[in-house]
Amino acid sequence: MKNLLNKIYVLAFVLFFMACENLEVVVPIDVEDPDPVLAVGAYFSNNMDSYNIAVSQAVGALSDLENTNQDSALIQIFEEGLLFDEFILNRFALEDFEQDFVPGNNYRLQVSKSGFETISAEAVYPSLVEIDTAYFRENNVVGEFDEELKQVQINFQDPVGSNFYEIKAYIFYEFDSETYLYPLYPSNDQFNGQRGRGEGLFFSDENFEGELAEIIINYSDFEVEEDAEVILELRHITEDYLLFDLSLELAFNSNDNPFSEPVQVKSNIENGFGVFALWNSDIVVLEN
Amino acid sequence: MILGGLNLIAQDKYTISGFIDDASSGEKLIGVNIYDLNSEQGVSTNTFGFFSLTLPKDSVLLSISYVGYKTEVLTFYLDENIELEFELEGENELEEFSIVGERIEKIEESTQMSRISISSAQLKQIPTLLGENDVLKAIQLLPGVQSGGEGQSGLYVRGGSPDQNLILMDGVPVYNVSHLFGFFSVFNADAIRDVNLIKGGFPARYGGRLSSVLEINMKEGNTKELKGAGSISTIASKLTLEGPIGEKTSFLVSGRRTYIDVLARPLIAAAFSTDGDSGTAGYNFYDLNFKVNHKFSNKDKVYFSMYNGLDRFFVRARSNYDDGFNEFETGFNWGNLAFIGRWNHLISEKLFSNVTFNYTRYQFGTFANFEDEYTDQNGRVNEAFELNYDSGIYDWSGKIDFDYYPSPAHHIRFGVQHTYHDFNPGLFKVKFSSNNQTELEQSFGNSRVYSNEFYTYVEDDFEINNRLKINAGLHFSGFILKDDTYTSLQPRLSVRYKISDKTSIKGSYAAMAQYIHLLTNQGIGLPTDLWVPSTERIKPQSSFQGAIGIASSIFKKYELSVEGFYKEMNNVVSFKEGSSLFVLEGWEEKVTQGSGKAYGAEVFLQKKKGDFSGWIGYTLSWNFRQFDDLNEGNIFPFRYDRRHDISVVGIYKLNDRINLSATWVYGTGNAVSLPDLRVPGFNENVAFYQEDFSYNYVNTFGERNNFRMRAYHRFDFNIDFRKKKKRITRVWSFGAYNVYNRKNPFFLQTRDRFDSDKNKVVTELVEVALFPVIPSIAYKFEF
Repeated sequence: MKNLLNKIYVLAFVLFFMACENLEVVVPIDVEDPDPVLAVGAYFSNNMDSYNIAVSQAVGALSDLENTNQDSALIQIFEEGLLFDEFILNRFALEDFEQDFVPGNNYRLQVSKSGFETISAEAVYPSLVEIDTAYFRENNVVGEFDEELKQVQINFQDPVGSNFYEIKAYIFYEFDSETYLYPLYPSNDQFNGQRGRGEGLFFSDENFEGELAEIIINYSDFEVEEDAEVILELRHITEDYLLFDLSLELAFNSNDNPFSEPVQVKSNIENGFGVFALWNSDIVVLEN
Repeated sequence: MILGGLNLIAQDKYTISGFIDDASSGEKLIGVNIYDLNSEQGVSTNTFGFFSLTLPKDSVLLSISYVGYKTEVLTFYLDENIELEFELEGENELEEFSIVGERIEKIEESTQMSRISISSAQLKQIPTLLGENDVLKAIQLLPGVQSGGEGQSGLYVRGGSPDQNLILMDGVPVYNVSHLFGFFSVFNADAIRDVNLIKGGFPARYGGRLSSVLEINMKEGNTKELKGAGSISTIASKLTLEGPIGEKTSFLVSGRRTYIDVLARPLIAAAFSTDGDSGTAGYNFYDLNFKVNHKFSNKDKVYFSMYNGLDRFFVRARSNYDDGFNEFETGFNWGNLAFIGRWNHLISEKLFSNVTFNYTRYQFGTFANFEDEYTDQNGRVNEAFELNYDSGIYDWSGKIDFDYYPSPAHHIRFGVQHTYHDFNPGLFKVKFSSNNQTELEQSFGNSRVYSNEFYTYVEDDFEINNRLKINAGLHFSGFILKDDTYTSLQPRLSVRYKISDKTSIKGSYAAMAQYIHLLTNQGIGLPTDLWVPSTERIKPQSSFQGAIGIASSIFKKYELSVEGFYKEMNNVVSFKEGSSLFVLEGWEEKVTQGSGKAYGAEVFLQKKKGDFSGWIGYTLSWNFRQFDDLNEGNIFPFRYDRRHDISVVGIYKLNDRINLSATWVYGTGNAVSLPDLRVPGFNENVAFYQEDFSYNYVNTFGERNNFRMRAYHRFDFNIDFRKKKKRITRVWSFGAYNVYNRKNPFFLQTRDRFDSDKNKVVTELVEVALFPVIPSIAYKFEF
């Protein structure tokens, strides 16, 4: 028994000293990085000549590659299966783009560049949803930080089926004799309108499906002149656009928070990453 | 040792009833077998040590047996009702250490499956982290039970999450069971009598959680003589005293406190102390258990118990200037408080009742105070800012339970309970004052929610014949919250069929409902975890579980059980994408509900007697979740989907003075989500300007829980040197946690490192381990 006990002591000491040799508690892990894929942000609308596209690359999360632009990519757009337009992407590529998207038609975006797998996405151009009425409301409200908020109401008829919207509001301002649109970053308490990457407010029609939508938006009157005109834009957008923009914004907001739940950015691009976003918008100017 | 009196009633059948106590301490013994060898009829004692056995008028050969105690056999002719108050004597210490497993009856006899018990003595033999015996860590060594991560005390039972465990201390739910961010549980091992875990086949008397019932019964207090026990370990000290007060009353008081803060105080003060600056910081926790019981008569006994535990972390710093100072203080504190009153009443020799009233509270609070004092052109200025946050759950509850023994073939239980919940899902208060004048005082956060929860149940443990025994019952529960009422009828069934003297097959079905939810991150037991009620939007969780198994006593000293289970869960709660556990307002908006399913098989082989005791447990399981709002609605593995889980526990009594114990555990690595792509931050305007996106990118995640951490395994070892001295028995306990220094993954993170080959900084993924090999030493004593 004494022998056994001695052996146990020796074994325990050996194990203990072997174990103490390296108390480093960080272990590098080999993770295979995915190959870079093409990434595209393609935003098209007939209104206000909103034709914007950029091509970059999405790389592995641990990759030492950068998300560099991929100019000179071949961009092809197909309408109902037929070539609608094509061009090589460069800084001026969209200056001559004058195609009109037809509501209800299916469009397919295809982006190719040597060294990458060709990527593609499909979307249906949304119908125009017109603003029935829009007006300033008499009563202002108080915001989260005790600031005064002005209110505008927009009424429109929501078409049958699932629909998605983005509402934007601007004022004009002049700088160096040029007139610009200054965004107002509206908010909404009614239907859980959500802010995405830009200044717009996104909605689904789940609260007013097929009915007259009566949406009240708030904006801060800070830096807005008393009699300034307010430009309202009601965008009828694709669902993919809404999902991409909101999830990307969520990913940015939670990126540095170790306690936040992981976010999947919802891309509609096959074999790659990004968004093919289409919208059709109606614009009204409200005079004070 | 028949202490009770005799009571003559003219009838053909008579009842033997009473209580079975431990001869040395007077503690009631739970699950003692009382068996008539002539008629082959028997029962076992309930939670309060009570039994009732009705037999025909005849001679009786009554065997009273309990693992670890000397079996007693009484012979008498039964021609009248008999009340017994019987005391069993323990065999020896070795046997005491060997109490593990289904000790209520032999494993093949009981209808209850998926149930395992651990005694206080066994608990104290298992190797520990930093020398602190921990009941929840011991439970994690059983098949079907997993820990959340390195050192964590959370329990994941058969695919469930920690909020789905009904953890009862003396019959009363405890909400937060973690000290020190989950590394220790709130249960002081010195005050525990025994622990029972039920993983499936839940009897109808239990409800309110989906995945397990963990009954922790605290000691009642020695009724014979004053006894004490204590320990001084690496991080904490404990002291327990118990004894009689007169002939009919006994008490127990037990306390534990960590003292890292006390030991480190001079060092911390020195670190803070620089030119004109001073400060301190610290962390500690304590537990206090108090219990007193009084026996009014053989028919009436009352118990009062109290638990109070608190964790406290704080930092205080002060800087002094020529014309003033500024001071900063922040901290957290969280803890449980419970008051429990119970009254046992023997209504008749066949009907036993227990009434329980309790108040429990779990509270979390944090604060930050800033004070600045200086002189300006207007004179002396004092500015103070205070921020306070508190959350918690407060329960008032009452219940009555009955045990009715109409015949040896039936043990009927029925009862009713009502709980009033007061939820505080988090309230902030801010105050700013200048020269003692309040400039701003505001509160914001989630408003309190009040609700009522109730249940009623009936169950019968019914022996149809020598081979077939059934436990069938119904549990009906409800939850009332303002205008919303949820109800649930839950059938329960367990069946045992003996295929031989030593072997039986068992099956069970249990439907469960749960009306309260825990908002938590998946992993660490943080005090910020928030209990919230079901609401109009957040529906109650529900589940059903089916299990089938075989139980057998083999080679006299071994018991083997093999069980397969399948469980489905509905309305389980998870945070939405991008949400975090710090819930300031609108918690309902941040969570989503989905479903889960888990299935697998468990093998449990244990040796209960002899110099060497212990067990081997193996679990093979699959565990999935599905939420419409997560992972694009696709099913994904739960974070704790652990395909293989093995635990080996061995306890060896070398001689009267030396005990050795060791454990080895292995578990498949946890499933975690890793970002798979770094993507450009497109928006319509950035696209227009063709910006270089290298400065504007973010990580996106692919499939949820798409990566497996490395497997977890660990070997712990402990050796006790016991010596009986004149007045006390002392034990020197030496141990090591993670003896071979396995770098078990605790969490993953990315870090930047300069790569000399590439001549640039690269980002790499690393697993961070928490505990290397940790030796421990403890001095324990008993008197």
